[in-house]
Amino acid sequence: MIKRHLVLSLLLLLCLVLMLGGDESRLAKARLLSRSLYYPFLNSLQTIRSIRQARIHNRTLHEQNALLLLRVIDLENRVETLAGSDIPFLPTVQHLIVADVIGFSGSFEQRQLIINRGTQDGLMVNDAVLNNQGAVGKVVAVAPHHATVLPFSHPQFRLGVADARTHVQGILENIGGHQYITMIPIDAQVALGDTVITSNLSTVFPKGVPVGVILKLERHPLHPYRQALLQPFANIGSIEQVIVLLSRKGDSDSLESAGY
Amino acid sequence: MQILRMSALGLAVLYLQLLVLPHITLWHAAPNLLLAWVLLAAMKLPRTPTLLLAFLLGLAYDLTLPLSLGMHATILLLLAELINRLHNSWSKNSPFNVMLAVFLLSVGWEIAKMVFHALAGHGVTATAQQLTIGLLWQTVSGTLALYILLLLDRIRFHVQL
Repeated sequence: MIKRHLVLSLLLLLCLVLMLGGDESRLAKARLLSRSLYYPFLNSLQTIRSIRQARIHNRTLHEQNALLLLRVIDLENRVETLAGSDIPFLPTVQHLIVADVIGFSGSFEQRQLIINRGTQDGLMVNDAVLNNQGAVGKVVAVAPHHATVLPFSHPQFRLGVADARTHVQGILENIGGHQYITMIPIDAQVALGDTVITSNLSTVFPKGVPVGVILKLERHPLHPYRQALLQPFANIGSIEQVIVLLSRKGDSDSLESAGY
Repeated sequence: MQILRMSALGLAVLYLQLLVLPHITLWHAAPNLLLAWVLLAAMKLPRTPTLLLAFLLGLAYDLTLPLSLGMHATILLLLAELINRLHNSWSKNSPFNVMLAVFLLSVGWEIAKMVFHALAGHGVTATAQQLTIGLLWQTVSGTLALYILLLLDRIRFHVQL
């Protein structure tokens, strides 16, 4: 009888010993057991819990990381926009606006750019369009919220340009899908690799906007002028953003007003 | 061998009770797997190992809640003794009987907890509604857990050398 109840009595006594005392006393006993007999169990429990907490923390960090990544992308886009509007060759431009290319009309060299700015933003026909590499084209049609840009690659585009080194004037035009500087005097000291810029005869562009470099000089036996094949700086096919120079009007005595 | 298996099952149940079940609460009441385990252990094992295992498991549970040190060890010990004494006279063929047994043990568990908290001066915060829903939830989940543990206990591994 005694033997039958011995184990139960001993264990109950142990329970009583553990329960007796205030909170501090129970905590002290729990600490002692946690560091000795039950150390492996409690340690494993703590490890599992810390792994779970680490996973939750990791998930939170992933979310924060994704948000920060979106923020970085947003900031990068803003920097790109600002960098695009920083035009080293136009130090005194008063009014310009950055526009996104939102579409195209026409195909191949007939292609025109559609931008997301219009009369509501102050755009007018014949406003100059460029990017941070150089001249792009000019505005040919404006709606309240969008505008059409005639790029230099279009056959109808004409622009008064000049050799940056010798200041020899010429006209930029598209011949057979390539950009040429025409009307170059035969005796002009134009050389391969020369940079071509917009000339002071242009009513659309201010003087000095880079256009491209001369790749090849040609002369037709029947023509009194030479022409130069140009490698433009701006790549019309991959333009995403442009800058529109708002209305530089007043010069009516120019090549463009005469049809160029 | 049966003692070893029941110890391993008890340890697994304890880990589940501490790590998983607190996330499956109904009205702040988590299922009580320890109750199902002690029921199974008391039916399957001899008395002394059952008491020892119940005490050790209860103490392990207490160490995660050090302010109530000894409470769960005492409850599990007493329940193990009670089941050990009474289970032979209790018909286990009907699931209703099993559920009733789990319910009564849950009631006993809750009463013992309340008494301990009252004696320790911690106060009893559960409302009657919480207690009722908790008991019902523990009865259903405990019964289910008991049948699952019975199923697990039947699994045998044979190693052929």
